[in-house]
Amino acid sequence: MPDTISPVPLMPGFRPAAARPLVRRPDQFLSQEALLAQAVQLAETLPQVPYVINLCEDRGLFILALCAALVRGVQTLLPPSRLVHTIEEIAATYPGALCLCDAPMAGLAPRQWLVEAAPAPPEPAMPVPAVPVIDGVWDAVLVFTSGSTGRPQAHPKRWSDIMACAAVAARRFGIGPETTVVATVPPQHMYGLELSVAIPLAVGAAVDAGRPFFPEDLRLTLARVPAPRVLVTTPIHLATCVDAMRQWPEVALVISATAPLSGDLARLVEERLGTRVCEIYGCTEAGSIASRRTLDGPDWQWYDSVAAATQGEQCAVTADFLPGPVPLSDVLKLQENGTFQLLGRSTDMVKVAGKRASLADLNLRLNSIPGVLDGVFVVPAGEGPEHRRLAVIAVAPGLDRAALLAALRARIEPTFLPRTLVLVERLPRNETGKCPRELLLELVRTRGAATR
Amino acid sequence: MGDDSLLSEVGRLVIETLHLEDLKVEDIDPDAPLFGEGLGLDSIDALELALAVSQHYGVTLSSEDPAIRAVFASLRSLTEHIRANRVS
Repeated sequence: MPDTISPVPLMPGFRPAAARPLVRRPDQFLSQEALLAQAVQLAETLPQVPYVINLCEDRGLFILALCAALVRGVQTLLPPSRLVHTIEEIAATYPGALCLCDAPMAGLAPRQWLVEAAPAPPEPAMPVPAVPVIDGVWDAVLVFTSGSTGRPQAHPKRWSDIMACAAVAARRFGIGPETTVVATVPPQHMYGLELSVAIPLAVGAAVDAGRPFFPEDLRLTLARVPAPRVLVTTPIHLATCVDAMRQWPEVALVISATAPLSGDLARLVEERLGTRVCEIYGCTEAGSIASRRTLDGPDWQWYDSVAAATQGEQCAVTADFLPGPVPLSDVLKLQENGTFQLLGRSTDMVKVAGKRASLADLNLRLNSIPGVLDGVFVVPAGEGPEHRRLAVIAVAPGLDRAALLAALRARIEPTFLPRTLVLVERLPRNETGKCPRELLLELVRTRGAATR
Repeated sequence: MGDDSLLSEVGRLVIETLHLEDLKVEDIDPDAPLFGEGLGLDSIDALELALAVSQHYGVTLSSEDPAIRAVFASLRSLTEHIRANRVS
């Protein structure tokens, strides 16, 4: 196995005395030195806790809190959503976890600690700090997904591996110290963590602290950072922004992930922004492991050092930046020339608007609702908008639709809430106890119309 | 909805844009929340609505607008924002 077990710098991209910007905000930036000094200081100030849950929405404060935890040697837990219910589930499994937030979160039981930006001292007066070094074999970050078990599932990541993968990705995409990353995705998810947190720390690029949402927000954010700019986003955002992309600031590269990007949309974005559009393939388990330029066609190129092997339909990957083989839940076609094509997903995983969920997990949560005797999530039939919503068929005699929806809202992310909810007396199960998909779809089609 | 034709029109836009099949405009309480409770829309819907509002009415939504939360608070508040800012 490769040499990823040596200790690794907290910030491999640090260049002393270069005054490199790390975090950009409107009309100002935080340098690498300043962030390091603040992280060391915050590390000293944090109470004695076994874990921290990093809930910061401001990207700069997220990085500060993450770095402080790394310096302190405390594991950082990254939840799959901001649902109070989910955060508390994680806190119950990791007792004593302290929530690091940049704004108070209402209704959250675990203890919160407010992360604030320290006023930046005048730059040249700051003594150059020694860059802290992080243990190479320690699981520094636990990234959670909604697994298939009804409880969030932890995926441990070593800082050495996170930095190694980031360096590989940065090389693949030509991201260096001069680049500024603008991202629309949250830093808590693997994609946002890798592209908007790890890459800047690993290679010295800058990153904007915001999370632009509306097309106008994105245009304003791009305009206020210097070129070269790399936009890290998703097909949903590109689809809703492309119409507004007239006379936008120059963007050197657009990176998309979380769901497949259509060639037509990629072409439009390339034309309107005068840019290249690339996609990343990966998952929380393995991180990002491959890329392609969408318009080049269906073949994906593995990141450097990634090797894949199939057994039957299941594919597993190894890499210098992974501690061991990681099985993938997608069905891949490995090709002679070392590239691959994506054939599809294993049937348990569903993606809505680029967010991944396990149907088994959703069904467990549905059936855990008091009053629900039997229930199932259904993926509606047919091709359609990539963000087609889920349906639910349930047996819940004492609940009306509003009550059932309210109960679901507390347990699952809004994206997965059913747009069609059918209440029935019995689910159509066959002799083996399974619900044949055709019967479920029929129910959704006929009864769904009457009971929105 | 009363006599407010813009309110109905915006309601229809919400229904069509977000594929809220079989929901009729008359069924939407104009003062109920659009997000979370009420219609139960989420951030993906907000993005798509922003696009539709921009395309139909020429009104650009931005998070830098301090009133942005109020704009999306209900169908009525969204309609009033469009009424005040539309490009005819």
